[in-house]
Amino acid sequence: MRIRREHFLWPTLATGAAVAVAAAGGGSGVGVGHLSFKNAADTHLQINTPTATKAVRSVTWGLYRDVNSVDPIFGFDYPENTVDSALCDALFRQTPSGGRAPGLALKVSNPNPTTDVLTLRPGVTFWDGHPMTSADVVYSLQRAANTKVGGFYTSIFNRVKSISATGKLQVTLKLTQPDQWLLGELSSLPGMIIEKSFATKAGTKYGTMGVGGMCTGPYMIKSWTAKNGLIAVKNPHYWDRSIHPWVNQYTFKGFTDSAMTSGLETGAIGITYSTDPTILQALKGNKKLSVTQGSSYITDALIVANNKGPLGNVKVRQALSMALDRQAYIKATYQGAAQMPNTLANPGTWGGYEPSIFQAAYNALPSYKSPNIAAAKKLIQQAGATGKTITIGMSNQITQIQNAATTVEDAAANIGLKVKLKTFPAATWIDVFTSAKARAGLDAFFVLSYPDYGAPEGQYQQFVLPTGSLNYSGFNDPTITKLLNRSRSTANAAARARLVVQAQKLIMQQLPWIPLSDPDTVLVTQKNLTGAPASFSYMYAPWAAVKLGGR
Amino acid sequence: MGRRLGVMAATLLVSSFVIFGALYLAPGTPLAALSGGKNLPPSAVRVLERRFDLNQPFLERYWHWLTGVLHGDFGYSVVHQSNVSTLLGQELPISAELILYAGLLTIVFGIGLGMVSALRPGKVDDVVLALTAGSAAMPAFVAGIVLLLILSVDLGWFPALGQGAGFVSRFRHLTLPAVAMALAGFALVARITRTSMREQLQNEHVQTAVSRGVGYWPIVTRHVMRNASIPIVTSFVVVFATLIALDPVVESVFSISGVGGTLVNDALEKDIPSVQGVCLVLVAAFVVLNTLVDLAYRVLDPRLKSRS
Repeated sequence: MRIRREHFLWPTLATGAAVAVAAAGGGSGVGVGHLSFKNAADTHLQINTPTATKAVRSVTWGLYRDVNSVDPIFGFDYPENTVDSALCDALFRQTPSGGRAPGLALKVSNPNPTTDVLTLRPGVTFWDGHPMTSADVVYSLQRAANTKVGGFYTSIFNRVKSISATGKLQVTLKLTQPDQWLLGELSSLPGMIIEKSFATKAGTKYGTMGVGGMCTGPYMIKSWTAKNGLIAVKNPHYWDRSIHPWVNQYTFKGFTDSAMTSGLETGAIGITYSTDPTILQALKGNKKLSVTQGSSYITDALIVANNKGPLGNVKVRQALSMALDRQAYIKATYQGAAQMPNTLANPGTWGGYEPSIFQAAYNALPSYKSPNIAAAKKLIQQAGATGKTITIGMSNQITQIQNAATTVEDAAANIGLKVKLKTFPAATWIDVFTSAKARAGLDAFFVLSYPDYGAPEGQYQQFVLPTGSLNYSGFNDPTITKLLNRSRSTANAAARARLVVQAQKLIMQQLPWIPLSDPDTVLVTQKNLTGAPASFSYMYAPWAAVKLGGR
Repeated sequence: MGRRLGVMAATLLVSSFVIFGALYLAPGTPLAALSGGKNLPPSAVRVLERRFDLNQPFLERYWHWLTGVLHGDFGYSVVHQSNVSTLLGQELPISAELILYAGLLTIVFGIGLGMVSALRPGKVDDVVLALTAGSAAMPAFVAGIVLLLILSVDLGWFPALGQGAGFVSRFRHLTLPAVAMALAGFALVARITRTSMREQLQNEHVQTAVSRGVGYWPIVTRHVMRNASIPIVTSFVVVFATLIALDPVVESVFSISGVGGTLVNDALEKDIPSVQGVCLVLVAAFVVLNTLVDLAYRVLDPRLKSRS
């Protein structure tokens, strides 16, 4: 559900198009359901790295900036997701491969389609030793849903009528309509449970540096300062006895791209999922480092932001998409750490359920392997758009975006469209997403976005539903909306996947966004460290923290 | 002294207003830093804007901030989710240590080489001139990266990141950044020392002392250095001002968690209270520095004391 924040500090030192990626986990030996789906493009992508065998005293975990809150409902970006996943447990756990497993909730049952009854896991305690009860769960969920608290995830509860404790270890959610997406979200940050008594006492300061938080996760906060970062140590009373973390202490700290590189090269940083893709080959060539490309949830695309301009015509969007030289772009930008996209949802998101249905649908879609200029030109002529100008927002200080802009410019020139680039400094690039004023006059701009859990519809709903948070053009196709809303209500996984696939086919014809690539998760560790999944699960579940260890 | 304090207060007031205004007018919102750029739900924006006073008009926000500062409250950093005074308390000592370390290097090596250069015309002087020309031309961030790549990444002699804990570790961590910062100022001090000493060496009182058979070192220390010291000490102001200005750049290159690195980051994130807090401290440091140098003049040149 978010946009990759393009971080960047020193234009001359680091052209920070960072892709942090990582992923969905569970491979053989993990015991959380390894899915052996493969598609033509990403057969080499890994879920897991070799199992660790040795304890390690302390490891520095490199983030692209310092974490600013450990309150899960105010976590929206890579640093907070990474840290919260090590500190807190959600009601459901995302497996390394993107599936959904029991977490603090053992199961969900439906006495009727609009009632979800969550059975909570017994014997779970918070870091302070207090047992977790339904009161904590109800408090956490109501707090996440409450618009007065101002959390970032209120909209996921828009089908929830009430949340109440119906037993010491039972919570009942009453819904206006059945909601499968909610269960997905509850395996992500809004489903993380915090201690009621601690949080009520902390008030609005909950999750801040001075106060910290109170969760049930495998690591707990030891200290947190601007100077030394957030230091977390093993929780000795962790409820999941099957988990034996190898690393005694993590230091989570933010680094600029250049500092991240020198920190990895000198051994000061042990693990990161946030490296600048343009230095990937250099890192791969370093004998002291392990670099693993894994599956991810991220989609790299061009957002169509104005349906009144030339891109308002579907033929123009299709033509532009057809004309893009994606292979050259991927090579230049990601040094190979991205895949050709056939859809606007990364295949890494299929792991949640029914990957075979998604695979078949993916294979049936036309491939974008090589540009088809002749056909694209014809479409532009049919649309009467030859010679028309599209204005594209970009930042020439972010390498990935600059390359993407060049790719689009070349494609447009080849098919008779003109491109006007409007450039933003890296520091204010973020504004195109948050400010209508910054976006004014743009026909399109670039995005890296991803869903909160392993499901393509989690990605699509952001920009194809009229209410989607990333729907900037007012895209509204009643058929697609209907199919997605039906999928949201459909409990049967196969039936749900088929509805999503139908919507996906229409989305790929309509192209409310134009796909550029599917970036991989890139895990970089010191050679003597291993075990962390190379999948996107590091954003939502504790696998990376608990599986990393010495080799 | 009273006048000085008045000037200092006025300087701080004006600069705080200018910085506040510039950040206020710059595009963007600190909330973007919290969300990683995603469109926040309107309810979240409302709550957070109210919590951090982001929705108040400019003058009201400035007044709010100013009255807070007068009561010892530097405000709350949106990006760090912490009181600015707490942040300053953690970060300021590190920056102060770095700047002092770099200053010490600048002064010791600058004066040392300047003296050598002044007293040994010819080849030694030529070498020093070439050396100082080179180091003055090297921007600190370039020097930092080069030092980092060679001494830290390749040779592994110094740590690459952070500020370390404990005296020895801190010393090791701050050495490369301090050297990177010292390079430019050191050239300046060396050149000024050289010129100023040469000037004194040709003065009549020195010639007289030589003709009266006073020893070499007494002449250098008592007659040359003392008289040459005023421009040298004046250059310290420029040196420390430069070091303060370089601090953010170098802290960023070496990932040092001092006020400088924070300043750069927080200015980009539009975290006004945090930037204001750091700037107040830096501006105050400049003013204090100037005052100290004025006092030093009076010690070095008693004539100034009698004149005032």
